[in-house]
Amino acid sequence: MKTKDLATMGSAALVTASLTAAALLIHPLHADNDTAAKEVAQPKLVANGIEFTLVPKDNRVPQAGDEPELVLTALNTGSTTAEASIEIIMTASSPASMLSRIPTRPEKLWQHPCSLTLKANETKTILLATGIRLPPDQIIQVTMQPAKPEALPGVTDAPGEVRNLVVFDPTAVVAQMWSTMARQQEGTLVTAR
Amino acid sequence: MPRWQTLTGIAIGLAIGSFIAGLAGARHPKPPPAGPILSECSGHFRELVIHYEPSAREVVESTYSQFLTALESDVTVYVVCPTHAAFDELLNFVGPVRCRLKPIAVNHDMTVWSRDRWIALGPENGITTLLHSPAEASAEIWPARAGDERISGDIARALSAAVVARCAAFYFDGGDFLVDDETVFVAPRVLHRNIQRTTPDKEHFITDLERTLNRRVVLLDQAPNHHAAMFMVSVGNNTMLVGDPSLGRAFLPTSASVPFPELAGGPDFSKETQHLFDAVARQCADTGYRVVRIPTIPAADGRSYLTYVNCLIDRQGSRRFVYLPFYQNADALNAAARAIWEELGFEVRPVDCTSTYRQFGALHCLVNVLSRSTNDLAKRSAGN
Repeated sequence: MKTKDLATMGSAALVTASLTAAALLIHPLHADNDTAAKEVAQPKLVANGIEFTLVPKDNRVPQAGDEPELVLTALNTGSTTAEASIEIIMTASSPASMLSRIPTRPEKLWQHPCSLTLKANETKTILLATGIRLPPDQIIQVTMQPAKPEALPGVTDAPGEVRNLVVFDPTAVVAQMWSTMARQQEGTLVTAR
Repeated sequence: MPRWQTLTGIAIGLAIGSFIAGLAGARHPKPPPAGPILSECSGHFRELVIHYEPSAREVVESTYSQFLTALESDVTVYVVCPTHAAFDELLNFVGPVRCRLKPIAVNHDMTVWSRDRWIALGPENGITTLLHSPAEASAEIWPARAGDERISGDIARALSAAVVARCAAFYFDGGDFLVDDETVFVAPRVLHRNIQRTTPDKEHFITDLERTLNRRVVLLDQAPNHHAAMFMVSVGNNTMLVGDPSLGRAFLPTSASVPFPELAGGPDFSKETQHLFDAVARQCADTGYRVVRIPTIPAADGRSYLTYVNCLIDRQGSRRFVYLPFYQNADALNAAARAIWEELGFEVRPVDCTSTYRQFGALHCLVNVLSRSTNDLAKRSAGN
């Protein structure tokens, strides 16, 4: 066997081995369907054909003491004019003690109703100033849900209502979640949103 | 036309590539098949898991002492603890027991709340699968909770012949699920944690859950914002016990001078909270269950409950036992709850949870069940 024959075989073997290994590793023959959570890159709430997304202004995670500003984007994906009403709710919770089973019940920090009418394929962007100062050492969660979910009896923000019970609609979407842990320079993004 | 040298090279390459892929695959083997999520109302306890962390001794000492002392000699309890010294401390305060206590020392921070860390998928081919959440809620600001994320893996390493740990494709706490022989009831908070995060919508989520848990899934539409076993328990025979604050109200002393368990912010008998408990009862009835209500007193903090459904059920042949929480200074309330369980045919083994409810949990939250003696487990034993 000549050196040239060996070189040809070697080259072919190298290329084939690389391609075979890559193909089998990327698409295993016995793929496990219970793999790690596949995170949705950008959560969106769809209400009456309008897609809503929400991010912090400049994509900067707000810290304790900040008054967060949020950018709401609405996109009408339909071919006709559409109108949708949603509400955005910011809540905070924290460990009551390091010994407790779960964090405290989420308390409402801020709530904002939003009604929009969009033409076909139109996009609107709105800057929302919350005007509330974020407390330290909390998990902050911003949730979008259709406005006027089936109301619970007595669940209102009427004067004198101090319980601040938050009950989310089954279609509610957590748009943002981050912590305001005080010992860190910046808030920690809890979810890649 | 390719020459013989090229064809030979391709053949060799195919063999080498398959060999390399096989080696890499062996490092990440396919997980073994898993059975259905373990029922909470069938079978006799075989292996339980509790956590012990010395800083929480005041919280769990009384509860663990009474519970462990009541267990039979054929039960093994794995005690996950940061160090062997912590295990020794637990042995000292618990005193003599009939059950077997075995330590699993993990050398990292952790909490005492075993239930929420994982769910057990029934044994297949002698192997139990512990399914854990991709991340614990609030782990970012809670070091012990971050340590909790590692515990199913710790258990699997310690019991490697019989247990594997696997990460779920969705976020949850173990206490979010309430399981009987046919159905898994899932607290609404699980959907809230996952919708548009790991799943596009409710329908996909239920389908995926049913495939993973191998049981019918009923996602509760409305419920108190807490783990399911704080407000409901399936007792078998298609019967669901659901908490009822309106029944608990009658047991609240009329005078502040009468001792009663402390409730953060006072008792919560609001119509909003009552509505949420009633919504659970209604949905269970709509699903075909006989619903029995039992007194419960939730506190206004939405977390502390005097509850009698956060219990553990153990069947021994035709006898049914319930390890039932009780609370000091609530004798009449305790007795009323006990009577309901006895009427359902259970022998009650009371466990003092006075020091745990203030930390938002009771007995069920502290104890996870790794295996029960059922027909499936007989097969597992035979397999071993």
